[in-house]
Amino acid sequence: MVLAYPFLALLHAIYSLVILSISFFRHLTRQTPSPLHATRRRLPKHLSIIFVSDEDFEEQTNEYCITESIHRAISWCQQLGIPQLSVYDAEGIILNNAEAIREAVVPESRVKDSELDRRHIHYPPTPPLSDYSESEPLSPKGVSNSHGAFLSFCISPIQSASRASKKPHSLTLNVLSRETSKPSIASTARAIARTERRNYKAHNVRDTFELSVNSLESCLEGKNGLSPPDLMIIHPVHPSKYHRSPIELHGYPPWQIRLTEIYCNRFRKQYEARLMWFLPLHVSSTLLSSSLTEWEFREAVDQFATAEFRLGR
Amino acid sequence: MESLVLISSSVFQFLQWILAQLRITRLAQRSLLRVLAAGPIPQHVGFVMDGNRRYARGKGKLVQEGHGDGYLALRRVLEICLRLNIRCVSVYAFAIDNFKRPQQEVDALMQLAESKLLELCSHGDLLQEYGVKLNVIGRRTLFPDSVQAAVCKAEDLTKGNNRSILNVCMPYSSRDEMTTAVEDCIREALAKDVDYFTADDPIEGITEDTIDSHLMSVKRGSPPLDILIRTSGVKRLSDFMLWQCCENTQLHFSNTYWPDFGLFDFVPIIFEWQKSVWFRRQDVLFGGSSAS
Repeated sequence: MVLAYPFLALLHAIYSLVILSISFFRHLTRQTPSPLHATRRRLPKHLSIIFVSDEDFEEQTNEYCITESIHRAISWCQQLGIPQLSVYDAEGIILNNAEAIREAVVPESRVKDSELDRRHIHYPPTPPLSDYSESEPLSPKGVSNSHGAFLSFCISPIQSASRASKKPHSLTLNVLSRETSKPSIASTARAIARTERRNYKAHNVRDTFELSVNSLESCLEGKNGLSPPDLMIIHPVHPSKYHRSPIELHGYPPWQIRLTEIYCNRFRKQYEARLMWFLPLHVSSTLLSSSLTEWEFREAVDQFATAEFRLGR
Repeated sequence: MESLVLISSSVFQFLQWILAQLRITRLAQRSLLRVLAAGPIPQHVGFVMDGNRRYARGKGKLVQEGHGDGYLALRRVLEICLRLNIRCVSVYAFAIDNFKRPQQEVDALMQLAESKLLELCSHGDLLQEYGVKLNVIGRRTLFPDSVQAAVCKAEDLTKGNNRSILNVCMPYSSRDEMTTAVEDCIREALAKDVDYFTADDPIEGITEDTIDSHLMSVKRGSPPLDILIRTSGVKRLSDFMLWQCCENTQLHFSNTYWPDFGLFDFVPIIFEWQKSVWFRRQDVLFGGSSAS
């Protein structure tokens, strides 16, 4: 058993070398993704981005990279006509900066209402009917709506869109946090239970409570809920550290990700990271932290366009 | 050119035959696994066994044969996992949505499930040899009666085992599992009355932990999911263990079709796990001191 450890170390060394050469080969043979405005077979209707920050590093770098990425993503989505964008991070950095982001993307926001206040986030008290319309018009001019445990604002279309052939689209931006995830399912459960108890008391009959997948779905995804994203980009702010381990979902709302295509660029800044191995981790990571690039975005949209959906069949 | 390929392939086959005779590959595999098991090992690994039909089509086989080969791959991978001392293995065998497939294929899959479950659990076979308890997780009532009976019998045969757990998820969907968990939580809360002295409302006690503990797989003793592997190059979760894998679970999307999945696809994943555990420890050791 004692002999096993040196062997294991040797195997790991060989494995690292193999991985290094494979990734070098892939780097040489990688394909340039199609340009942003290329016609694709399919476009996501709802794009979601998970930002992975690291508390070990400066908060400012995290905030700056994430905010810049969101601004870029908004502009790409508007150019391509993706109607819904959700941004998520587990630490709540986006939520803390939501006001700043909103002011930047909704220039005519004269309304300084307190709806952004997190205390006002409410959960649907009763299970809404199973209407699945999410395209219903939100408030017209960038007024923030507080939905079930997440923030959502409507961004009006850019006027200066050079491509006059397509009509400009408005974009809904959802700001999600860990609260939108499992806690939101738990609070929906509490809301359903309260309604059920009220019904018992009103009619004084007790039959076994039953819940179907569809009714829970309409509570979580319906009127005040979050619709499932078609495509998800995982964007680590500090790729050099993150890429040492496989991808994770960092507590993204579980109910919605059933059919979501997951994308993560594992090669971003890999070479720079390898060259800076001798630097202390916090130095190299600050140097290497970066925002979402157009390359990644195009690659992700390409991946989605070529994906095959069989839905169990 | 063709003759060259023929000769080289026959030489290769001959070499393989010699190796098989000497049982060298088997020996090498076992020692490799023993070496691997010396490092950190995940507790719970999940597999989405995807690609049986594409594999069969690629090889010019029938779809049913593809599923048969998929079963062999399951045995192979399961043995690897058990040799590595992984405590719990979950496999996605049949989705509720799979009932939408052609009737012929569904029937063949039902037959396969019925016969192979009993085979796996029978005396002296894999599960008994390694002391594995079988759990069939999902909405079983959707199965035909004969399969339901086989499932009960198979579970009964292994209920005394406690070294490891095999969760066979069929007919399963994660949304169904979550809904059932929520339903159970609500039922329990409604059955209890409000304690007016302490103002302890059981409904307000429903939290994410309550739901987690009511999930079918957790109720049957599964530890948190550490690794999720999806084969055949699809980068989606397709309604498998969404609640369990959305946090602290490493996701791997392998390009191999499931029937081809083997040791050399699995070992790199274990390497990655070990690396991440070691780095995490290093961060705990050195990261804390540099931050202060």
